[in-house]
Amino acid sequence: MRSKLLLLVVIATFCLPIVSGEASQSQDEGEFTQRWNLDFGEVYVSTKPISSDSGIFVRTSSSSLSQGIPSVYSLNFAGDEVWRVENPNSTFQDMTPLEYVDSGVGDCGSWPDMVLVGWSNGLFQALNANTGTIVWQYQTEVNSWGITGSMLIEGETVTIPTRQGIDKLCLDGAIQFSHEIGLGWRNGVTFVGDSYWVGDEEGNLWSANNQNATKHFLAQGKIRHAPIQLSNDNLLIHLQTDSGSTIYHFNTTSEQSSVVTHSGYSPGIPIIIDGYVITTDSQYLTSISCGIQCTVKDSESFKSNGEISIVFGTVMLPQNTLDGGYGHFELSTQGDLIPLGMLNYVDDWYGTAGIESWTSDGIKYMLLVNDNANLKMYSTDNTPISYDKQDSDWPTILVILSALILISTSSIQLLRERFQSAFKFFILFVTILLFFSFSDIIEAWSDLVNDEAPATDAWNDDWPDEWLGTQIVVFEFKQETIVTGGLLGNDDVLEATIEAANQQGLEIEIIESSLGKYVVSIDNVAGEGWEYTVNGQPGTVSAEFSDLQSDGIVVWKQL
Amino acid sequence: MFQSYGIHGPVLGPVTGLVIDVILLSLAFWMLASPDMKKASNVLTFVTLITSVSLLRVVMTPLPNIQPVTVAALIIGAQLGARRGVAFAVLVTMISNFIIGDGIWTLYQAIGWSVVAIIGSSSKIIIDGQLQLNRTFGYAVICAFLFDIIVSLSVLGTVSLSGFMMYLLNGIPYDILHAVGNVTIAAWFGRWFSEAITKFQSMEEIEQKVVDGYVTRT
Repeated sequence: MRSKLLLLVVIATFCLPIVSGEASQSQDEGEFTQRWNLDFGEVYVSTKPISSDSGIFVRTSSSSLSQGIPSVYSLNFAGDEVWRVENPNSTFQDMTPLEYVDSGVGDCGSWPDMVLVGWSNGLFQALNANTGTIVWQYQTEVNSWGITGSMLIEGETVTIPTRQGIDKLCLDGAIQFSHEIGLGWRNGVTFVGDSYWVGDEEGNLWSANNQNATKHFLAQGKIRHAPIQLSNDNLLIHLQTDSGSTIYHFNTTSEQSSVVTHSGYSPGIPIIIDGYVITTDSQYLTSISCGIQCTVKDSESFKSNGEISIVFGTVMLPQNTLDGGYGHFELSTQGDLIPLGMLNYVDDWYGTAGIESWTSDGIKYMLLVNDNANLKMYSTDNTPISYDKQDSDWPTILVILSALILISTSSIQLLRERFQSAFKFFILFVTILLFFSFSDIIEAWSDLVNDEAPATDAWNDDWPDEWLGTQIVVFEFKQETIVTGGLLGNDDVLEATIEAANQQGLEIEIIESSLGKYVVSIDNVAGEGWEYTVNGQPGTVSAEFSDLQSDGIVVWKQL
Repeated sequence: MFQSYGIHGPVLGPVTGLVIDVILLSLAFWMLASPDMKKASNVLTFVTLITSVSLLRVVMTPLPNIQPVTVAALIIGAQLGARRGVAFAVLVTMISNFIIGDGIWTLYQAIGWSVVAIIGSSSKIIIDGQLQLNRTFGYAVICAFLFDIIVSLSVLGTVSLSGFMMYLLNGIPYDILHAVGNVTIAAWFGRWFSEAITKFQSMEEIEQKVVDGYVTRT
């Protein structure tokens, strides 16, 4: 009897993941219901996810590859990954907000729907929003960091605050101007009058146009946000200082500045809501009314150092403390901040990312994420999400059904004391389970036992700089070498190899084997076999099971 | 452990391949050369057995490292003895690799499954004509790891010792799947397969008795 109970416990343990996987759905939060959540792992998410008609885009960041690779993800509205672009060289805490631009044609040429990404290693990428492929990319200077501030999109152009400059580009990637300014960090760009305005780490405001960039000293401190444009084309700056922060009004005509108020440490990123400037820092959330001069309208104690969001007519911002959660305020027509309470969730923690919200067909949607990198979508719709899973779901359903039948039969036979028969069904269940999770097991095991080599180990200086940060596949024949670079979004070595072969018009013969897919010949050359390396390290598993980083270099060598 | 298609033993040139094929074939026929194999029906049955298992191996190629030949070699070794077990292992390896892909690994696979058949012949997994399942499971697991180690030796000439150790380490999930697959095959088809061979053996035993009787009379 004991042995039967023990076996039942083992069987129940195997079934547990199937049940618990579904348990994380649908947690009610007031009128909103959690539709799904997606954990990106040990990385951070420091900036607001963005949404478009086609899906959701979110970026992760990290300071070490052991935490995870900084990436940009495209998700559908059901939370499934559509594509992912990684940048293992960008490990300086990415905090440049993503921007989405619709496809267009104009004086600047033409471009598809794009997601624009500024990386902390200075790389600026325009990614095709539908596929994740690079439409164009542009390398900016690096001085410990690269791009960390918010870009400005205007019609056909994008203006980027680089580490030590301000660059304006057409949306087809052609450069319009590039000026050197002071060192900046999280310093966004604003266009006011006929100039682009950006701050630096020395308390300077810079105005730039096609010809030059001019420095305007504000005060000793750090400007770590895009200057706020006021209705009279003046600017409001929340300057970080050694003793806290000071909010300044800056007259762009007279170049005179005046102090509005002093406030707490580590200012967040201010915004304008209904004509009021809302600022935040480690002590206060403040509303400011600006005419010729600016005056504080209201102030509430709150600690937030990141992005402030307007969510369905109210103000929401992440509380940057261990307890986390989101402050929820109403802004009255008089500029008063009326606390509506805290919004708390099970995974609350430190956070700086704002909240993305939108309404579609009368249903409200919210995307929340904090430093836990656990992206959650809430909506006011309680019906199941309908999205096109096409045929990809049926195999999963069939496998789960078969597994349930096998495990049920096993249990029944066990209860009937037909132990041999119970074991037959149980071992078949285990085999099927192993088979369908085998590629994941192999990849995880391979990651565990193999040291990861950096791509720089295999980089060839003769290759163009545009290939930096992209996947490269080299075919080394006895007589010649063919190199393909600029590849993106391939998850494994085989996928990248096939894409490279297709681009080069090379025929590639692959056979199924009991150990995975095997490349027999490339361009009809079999030789004595083909071996591959990734970043200089010999492949140890079938190419289809070998994970490839976004800047991985694959070399196939004819034996 | 012979999981890698990143590193693998070299594909054989035509002359080397031919030499290995001749050696393996000679070994197989030498092992088969016995009076009871002169009867056409026995030969036909043995050929059917080899063909079926070879085809089964080819068909099951897409399943990662699930090797029906290991359990078959184990049971045939136990049922028909080491000589015919080795012959079976060599011929199945050659025929199936002719379709799947030939290389230096054919030699190592043939050796690996021959060792499994020899182990089977001394394993006592068949007692009184009945396959002992629990014992078979144990041997099936051991043979999975042993076979994979033997086959992994084929890369020794192409990688360093530390590379070889990494190679073995990377292959552990494949070994586990091979072992679990062996147990599943043994659990579901072991008895049936064993009984099917018993008929073959019985015919031989009868024939042998007839031959022995004839020799005694004359």
